[in-house]
Amino acid sequence: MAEKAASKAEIKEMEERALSVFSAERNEDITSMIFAFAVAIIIMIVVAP
Amino acid sequence: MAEKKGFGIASLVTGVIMIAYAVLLKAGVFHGAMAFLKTTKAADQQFYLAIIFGGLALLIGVIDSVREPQKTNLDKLVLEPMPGVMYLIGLSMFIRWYADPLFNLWGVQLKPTLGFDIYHVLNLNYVFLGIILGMIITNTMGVPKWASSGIKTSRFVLKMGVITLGAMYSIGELAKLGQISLVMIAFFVMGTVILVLILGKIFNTPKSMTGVLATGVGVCGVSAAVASAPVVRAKSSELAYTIGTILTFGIVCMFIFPTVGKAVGMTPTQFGAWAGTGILNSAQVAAASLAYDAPGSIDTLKVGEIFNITRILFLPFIVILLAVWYGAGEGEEAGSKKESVGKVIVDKFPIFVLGFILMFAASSMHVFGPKSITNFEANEKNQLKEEDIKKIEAVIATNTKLEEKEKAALQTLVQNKQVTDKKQLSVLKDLTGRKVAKDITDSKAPVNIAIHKVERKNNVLEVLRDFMIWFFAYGLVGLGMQITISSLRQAGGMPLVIGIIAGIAKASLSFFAVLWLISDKI
Repeated sequence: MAEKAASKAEIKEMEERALSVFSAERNEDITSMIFAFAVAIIIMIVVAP
Repeated sequence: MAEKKGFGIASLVTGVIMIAYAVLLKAGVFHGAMAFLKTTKAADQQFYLAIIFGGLALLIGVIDSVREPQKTNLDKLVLEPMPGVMYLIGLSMFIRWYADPLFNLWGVQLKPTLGFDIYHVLNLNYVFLGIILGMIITNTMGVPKWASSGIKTSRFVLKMGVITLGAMYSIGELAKLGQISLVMIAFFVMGTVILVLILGKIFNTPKSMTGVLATGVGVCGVSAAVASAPVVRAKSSELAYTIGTILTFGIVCMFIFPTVGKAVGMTPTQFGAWAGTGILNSAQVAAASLAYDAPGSIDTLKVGEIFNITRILFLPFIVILLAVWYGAGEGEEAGSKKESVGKVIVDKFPIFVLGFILMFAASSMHVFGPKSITNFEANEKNQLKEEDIKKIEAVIATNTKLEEKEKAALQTLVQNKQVTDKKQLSVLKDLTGRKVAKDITDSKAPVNIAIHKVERKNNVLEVLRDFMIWFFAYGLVGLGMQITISSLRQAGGMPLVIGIIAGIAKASLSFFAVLWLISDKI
C-alpha cells in the first residue's frame, strides 16, 4: 500500500516536472517561435557573407 | 534561502568545469581522444561553446549566490532555471562530442563481425543516447534539486528543434514526385494515423498515448511525435514509449524488407518507395535502401529518401487532425457542449507548428539560399592538379565498372581540368556514391576534390542543421530525465502492440500498393 502511494507520488512529481517554466502553452509556443526565428536570422546575418 | 545559495554554487561548479574543459582542450589534453573519435574538426566549436556557456554559468552562479530570490519573471524564467539549463547543456555536449562519435566508431569497427553497422541499424545516435542518458540519471542518482527547474525548459527547446526542422525541407522535394506517389504517401500517412486512433479506442489506451503514437507511426519518428505531444497533452513516458516502438519496429523491418524485396524481384525504385512508406524511422529507411542497392548503386537510396522526406511534410495536417480528434473527445468527456471544428482547430492547434510551416515556406522561397552553391567559372582555383588528372586518366583506362556516361564525364574533367556544368556534376556525384572507383572517388580523392571546388554547401543551412541537432539533443536529455521506470510500467505493453499492428498493416498494404502503382518512375 505504502509502495503504491510512493509510486503514485513519484509519477505525480514527474508529471509536475514535465510542466513548462511558462505559465501557458501558448506563451511557450510563441517564445519558442521567436527564439527559433531569432536564431535563424542571426545565423543568416553572421554566416551568409 | 540556503537552498537558493546551493543553486548558485551548482551553477558556479558547472561553469568552472566548462571553462576548465576549454582550457585543457586548448592545451591539447584531448587531442588524442578527439583524433580517435574523429572530432578534431569540431575543436574550435567545442572551445568557443565551452567558454561561452561556462562564462554564462559562472555569471549566473555569482548572481544566484549574492541576490535575494524574488518572485519576478527574471527569477522564474531565467535565474531559477539557469543552473538546470547549464546542466542539460553540459550533458548535451557530452552526448554530441563524445558518446555519439564513440558509438559511431564502434558501429564501423564491429561491422565486419556483425555484418551490419550497429550504430545506424539500431539508431544509436544522439536521439537514443540523449533519452537513455536522461533516464539513467533520473532512475539512479536522480535529478538534482537545483536542476529541476531547468529541466522544465526541455520541451520548449524541443519545440525550437521542430520549428528549425522546417528549414531543412522545401517544396522542391515534392516536385520530384509524380501525382500517384504523392497520393500514395498521403493515403498511408493518414490511413495509419486513423488506424492507430481506432486501435487505441478498441484497446482502451489513454487518448494522449494513442495520439502521440498515431503521429509517430503515421508520419515518421521523433520529431513528429514531439510536435503532436502538446496537442494531446502526452506525458514524457508516452513520448518515450512511442520513440521506442518506432525504433524497435524499424530494426525488424531493416532485416525483413530487403529479404522480401529480393524474393519478389522488386526494382530499386519499387523497393525505395516501399521502404520510404513502410519503415517508420528515417535513418532505418536509408539503411534498408542501401542494403537493397547493388554494390556501387544508390538508386534505391535516392527514392527511399524522397518518399521519406515527403512524409514529414504532412506533419501540419496530421497535427490539425489530432487537434480536432482530441478536442472533440475532451468536450465529450467533460459533458460540455460540442464545439465547432474551426474553434477546436484554433484553440488546440499548437502555434509552434506554424513556425515549422513558416520555416518550410521560407526555405521553399530560398530565403536561406539554395541547398548548394555552384560556380563553374573556368579559373585556376577550380582546377585539379596534374597528379590528380593522371590518377583519373589511369582509372578511365583500366576500370571496367564505369558506365559510358561516367567515362564521358571523367574524360571532360581530364580535358578541362575542372567540372564545367551541372550535368557533369550530377554524374560525378552519383559516381562518388556508387563507390566503384574508390581511388578517385573517396572523400579526399580527385573527383571529390573537383566537385568541392565548384560546389559548396549552403553554410546557413548547415549551421541551422547543427543548431537543430543541439536543440533536439538538449530537449531529449531533458525528456529522458522525466521518465521513470514506474511510469513506463504504468503505460503497459498495449501501445507496443498497437504500434506493431499498425506498422505491419502499413508495411503489408504499401507493399502491394507499390507493386501495383510504382514501376520505374516515381
